Amino acid sequence: MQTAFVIENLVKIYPKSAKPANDNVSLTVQQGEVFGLLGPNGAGKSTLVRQLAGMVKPTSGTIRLFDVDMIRNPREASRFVSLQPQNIWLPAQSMPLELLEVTARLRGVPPAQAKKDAESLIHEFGLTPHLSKKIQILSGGLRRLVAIAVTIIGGRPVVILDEPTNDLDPEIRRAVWKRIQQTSQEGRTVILVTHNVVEAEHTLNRVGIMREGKILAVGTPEQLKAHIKQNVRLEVVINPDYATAITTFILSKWPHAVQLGANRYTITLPQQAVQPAISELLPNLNQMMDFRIVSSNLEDIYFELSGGDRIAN
Amino acid sequence: MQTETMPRLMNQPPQQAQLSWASQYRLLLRLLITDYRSAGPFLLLIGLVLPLGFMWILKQYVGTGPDATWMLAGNIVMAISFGSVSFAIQRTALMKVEGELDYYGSLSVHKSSFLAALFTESIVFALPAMLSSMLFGHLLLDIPLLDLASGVPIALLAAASMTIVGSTIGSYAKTMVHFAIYSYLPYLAVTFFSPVLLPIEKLPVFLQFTSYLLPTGQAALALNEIFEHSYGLRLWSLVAALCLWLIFAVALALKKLDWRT
Repeated sequence: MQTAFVIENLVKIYPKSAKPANDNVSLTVQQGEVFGLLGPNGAGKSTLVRQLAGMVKPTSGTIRLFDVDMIRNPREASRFVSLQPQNIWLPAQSMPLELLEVTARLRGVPPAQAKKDAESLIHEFGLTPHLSKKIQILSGGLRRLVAIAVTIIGGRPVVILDEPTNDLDPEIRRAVWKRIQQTSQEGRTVILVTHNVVEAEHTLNRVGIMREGKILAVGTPEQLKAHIKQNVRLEVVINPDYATAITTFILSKWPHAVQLGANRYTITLPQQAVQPAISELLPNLNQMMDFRIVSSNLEDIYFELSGGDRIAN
Repeated sequence: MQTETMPRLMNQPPQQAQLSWASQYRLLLRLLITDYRSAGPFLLLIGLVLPLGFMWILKQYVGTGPDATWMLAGNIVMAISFGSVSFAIQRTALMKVEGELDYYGSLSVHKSSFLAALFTESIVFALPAMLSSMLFGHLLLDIPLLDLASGVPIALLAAASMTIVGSTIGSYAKTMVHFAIYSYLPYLAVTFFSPVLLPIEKLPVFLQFTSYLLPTGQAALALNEIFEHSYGLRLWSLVAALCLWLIFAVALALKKLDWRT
């Protein structure tokens, strides 16, 4: 497999900022793989991908893309990389089909093929009913969908998607994940920045976990999960009528239990402690609305390594 | 788990088709010009009505002498400044603030083709006001159409340099406050540093100096020379100065327009 990116000792310090946004990042991304960057807000993921796309100049370090030095030739990035930034950024008065077609043309696709590719993506993403609408009047989710299509079209060998599934409904999210897999199967590299860890797990070939500008770990989801797979989570949704009693009970038995929402707790336990815990919880079943046993997934690795707090959902 | 160590592999970059400059320009313009989709009729109306009112005042209070000719030249420069230059600054600043400039920056297009497309879009914004100023100048002030047509290249030359500098300045906007501040720059040029509606002889020495220095003043002076049938050294010096401004503007924009690394 060919290497797409080789990043060595990359540092980015923004002016007037005390802490580096990227701190000595080293990473290799292979051609054709789907590489995920996970980490809490402010971890430096977006800064990293903007440097990979030639949109931000690194303070020091090297980025090589297909063995081309991107520090010396930053313009080359636009020949190989297409980026969907976190914020929506499309020409507001254009319409989805023409925007996709023109973008494909600007990426060197012949006119007839550009039109065909644009129509195909419009159909695939369910944008056909919105063909005659200006980007400006599309909903946030639809605009993001157009932005993803704009990034994918034109056959750039590296596609970078920064939070692609934000604002999207479940059905469209599924279409986007499918398209990302297809893009990878075409031999194109996909770099994903996402918080949607659970959904991304099935799509990602490898994952890099970031915190405070540093890469903490890189590996396949299975390799990373191997480090914590002995743990199991019990998720409890409590009955609000018995909130005080059951909450007191849970916290007295498992002080490390984490509150996920107003009525939701998660208890992480070693495998051998699960059976006794269930036995203790079962007599209180009437005080719970839901009770689930969850084996560890990429989200657990994300939280464990990134040090992020679980948030209400 | 550790951060990876770096293998150094020799790769062949995938072949990527590259469009010609002209194709890039045409396609970028096709996208940029969509800005006028909802605003076209208003633009035309404002462009036609504003100079008409101004020319009527000119006819009533100034007559048809040299002062009126000067004011016509100044009005054309105003049309450029408040039209194309303001538009270019505000459009680029808005692109920067909203992140749209990332879209154009991430495309494999040359900065000069983007600038040329942006200039064309901006000049479209000023065209109705500029052309109607000239038309009303002919109808109300009896300035021959040929003289007015001779002024078009000067107007475009001045517009090009100012619009390109304006786009570069706009690309540095980080917030809507910057956007608002930058929007005032053309007003500052045509109302203070080179008050184009007043004959240059009536200005204080400092403002005469700045008028000769800035492209707004140079354009107003050059247009006045043409309308007065004065095709001497002064006119060609002003044209040369405008050309220098254009070279400076393009060089500045190619180096400093802040759209990617």
